[in-house]
Amino acid sequence: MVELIRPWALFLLPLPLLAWQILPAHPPRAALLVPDRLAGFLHAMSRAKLGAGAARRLPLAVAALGWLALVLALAAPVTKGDPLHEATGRDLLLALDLSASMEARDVELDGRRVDRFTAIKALAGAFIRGREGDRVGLIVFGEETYLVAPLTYDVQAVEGFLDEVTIGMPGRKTAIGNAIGLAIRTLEAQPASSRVLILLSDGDSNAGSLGPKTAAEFATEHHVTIHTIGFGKVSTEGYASETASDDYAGLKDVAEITGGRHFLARTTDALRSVYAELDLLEPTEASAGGRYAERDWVTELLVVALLALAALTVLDRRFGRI
Amino acid sequence: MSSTGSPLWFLAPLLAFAVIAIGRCELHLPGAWRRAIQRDLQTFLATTVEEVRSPYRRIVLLVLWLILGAALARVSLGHVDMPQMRNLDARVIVIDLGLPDAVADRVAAARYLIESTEDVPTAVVAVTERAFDVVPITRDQAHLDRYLQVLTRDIMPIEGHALATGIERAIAILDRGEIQARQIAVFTGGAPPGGDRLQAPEQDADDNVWLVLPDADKAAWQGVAEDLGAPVIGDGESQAMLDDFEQRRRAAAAKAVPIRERQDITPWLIGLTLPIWLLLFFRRRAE
Repeated sequence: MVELIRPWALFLLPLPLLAWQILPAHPPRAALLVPDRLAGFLHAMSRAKLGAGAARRLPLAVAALGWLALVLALAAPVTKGDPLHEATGRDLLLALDLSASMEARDVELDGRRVDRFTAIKALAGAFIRGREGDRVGLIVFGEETYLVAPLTYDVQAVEGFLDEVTIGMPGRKTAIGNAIGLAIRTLEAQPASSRVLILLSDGDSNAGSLGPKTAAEFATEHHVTIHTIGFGKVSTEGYASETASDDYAGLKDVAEITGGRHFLARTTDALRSVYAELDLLEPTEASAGGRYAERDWVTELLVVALLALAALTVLDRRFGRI
Repeated sequence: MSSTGSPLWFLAPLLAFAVIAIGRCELHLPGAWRRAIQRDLQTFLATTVEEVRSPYRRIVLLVLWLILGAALARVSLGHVDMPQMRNLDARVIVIDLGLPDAVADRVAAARYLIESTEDVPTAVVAVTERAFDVVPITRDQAHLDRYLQVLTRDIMPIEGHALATGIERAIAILDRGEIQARQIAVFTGGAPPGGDRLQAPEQDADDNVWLVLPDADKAAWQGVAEDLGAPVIGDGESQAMLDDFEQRRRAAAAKAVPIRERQDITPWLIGLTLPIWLLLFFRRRAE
């Protein structure tokens, strides 16, 4: 579909006809001063060589073609190119707890009893997939902390990396402070208008060299907002030592210090609602969409005009003026 | 502050001078005038005719050449901020880990490329018999570097040398991101897979595949390069590849700025051309 940026320019198309009719003609002037009989002879030969009509009208046709190209170039035709995707300017890191307590099979997902991490994977995967326009990264933590996926717009790739992580990979304890530290370091390396960390854990910090509160204060200094999610039943058989704290006080403090929100999700449905709420808190701009690259044809039309001009320059030498 | 999209067009008026200079060598008067005018008088008459011709038309043509040349150069005033588009540009580095020799050199060359273009979103794919995403498209230099440091043949679960699979994987990454300005840099070397030919993956010119090889291996890979339609460069000659990508990035960025928002003076130059072009429609004599 061709769109004209300045369609009014097309009104200029008939101007050469007006110029032809209205502008004063060049006064007749003899090129060669020769006797009348010789003039007739030259004229006849000239017509024979150039062709009676068509060739003499050639410069006029070329000038008209150039005019058409110029007027169209002024009208600036554009066609729609490839779709463009605007960025939200937000960098969003998802930090997931992979400590041993995530093995607890105390939640249900689609009617099946599954371990906590399976539920988190399913719901976090869908959440990540919906973050079109955000630069998303993935951190996993236990005793150690790893950046599994760097900040990228390729949310599908991040979801793929999420599929590959397993419980216990970074150790069996929970070092929330260290996870926040790595998140700050990752986020501050990139310019962004908004930096968000979503930290999901099923218990308070019990490992790591950096305390969650101190890490949260650093995060505030680096303009990182942290939303925290406490997930899972509070006292789970076999994991009571790690999830005994029923108020997730540490996570709550971290969210408050950084201006984020703290959520508590004891079931997968509750976790699903938390992600939905996070989508509202940190909206993407994917729905704005609809922007396309523009292909303008001005250069091509100007080249046509230039070729017409080149032809006129040559014809001018050969046949004289129109 | 001004900038030009295609500065070479400023040279266009030189063509006009060339045409006029050639025209001066042989002045064409109407008809076979030389048969009608005595030979001794021909030079005199030709000179006289040149003098009586009005010079205005030549001036008009020259002015038109100058203005059109400037218009084609697409001069822009001021600075237009490039829009933040997440799919504007990206490069995928495919590292061939199928051959044990010189893997470290390949990785080093890839690291050099990444360090040379810090602002380019880059992904890394490792390939043996199968291809794996090592790093998704990212600007995180530290992360890219960290992964390249540990990229050895040992990390691949299977052996092999299916380069086409790696290129397919790279194309899939770029397609998934709907990337506009693309480049796939394949770091390989040694003996080409399957002799000197390759079952080329489905691709088009926009995928912009380049083969980066040690200088000594370049000749052996010419057949593969032809199959892929990919330029072959030595691992110390990456400048041509960088320049090509920069050009593609600029073109993509220009398309991303709507023509209404561009501060280029081309419409004004076209507007200036139009009344001058009208002078070409003067009649020769009153009719």
